[in-house]
Amino acid sequence: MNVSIKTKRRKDDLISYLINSQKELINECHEDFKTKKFQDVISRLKEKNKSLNGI
Amino acid sequence: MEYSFENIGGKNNSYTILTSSDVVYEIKFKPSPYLSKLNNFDEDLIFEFVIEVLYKPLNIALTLDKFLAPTINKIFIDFYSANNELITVYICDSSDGKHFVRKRKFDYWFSEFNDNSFVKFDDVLVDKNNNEFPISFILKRTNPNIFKIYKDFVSSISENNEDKLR
Repeated sequence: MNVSIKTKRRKDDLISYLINSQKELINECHEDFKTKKFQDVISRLKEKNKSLNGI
Repeated sequence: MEYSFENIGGKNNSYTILTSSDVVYEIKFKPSPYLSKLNNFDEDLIFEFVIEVLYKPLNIALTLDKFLAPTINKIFIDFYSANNELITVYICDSSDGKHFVRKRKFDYWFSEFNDNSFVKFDDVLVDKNNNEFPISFILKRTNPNIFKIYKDFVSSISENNEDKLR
């Protein structure tokens, strides 16, 4: 006799996963902002924006 | 015309935008093994997308910024330049009740930046409490798996929403 076991995904797993993952990503963004590397990037972008006409 | 941006890279493929009003945005494309497994795609093809305001001067309101959409366009083009078969997933959190505001803003950006080379599939995920979460999949029109992706997208959403539709 063949026995197959199928695990059914809980219906809200997809939403929980996506929302939690998004929150983690957003937190990571705010942590990035505190780093020196990120502030250096902003300084470089400021200089680049200054050189763009019309902005 | 668009703003300058920088590809910072990292495991979640970060990009930074600085606007002329000194508003700082960060965009990330995070690899999503969960979604890839769910839909039987290669692990390195599906990415979750976020765009977050990291800094805004006190006297600046986040009104419509005509240079932002073309900047996001450049970022998508840069990200997809590595692989035309990438898929980006964007979900709007409803915990603060502003999910449809985010959705409208994202739709506006997409309609403004899209030169028809990208395709977006939209739907709404519903949880057991009937909260709604707008979700979008974005891919290149030239993606050879476009029909399979659409079918799997509809199937995943339908399976999730089963028994919850009013």
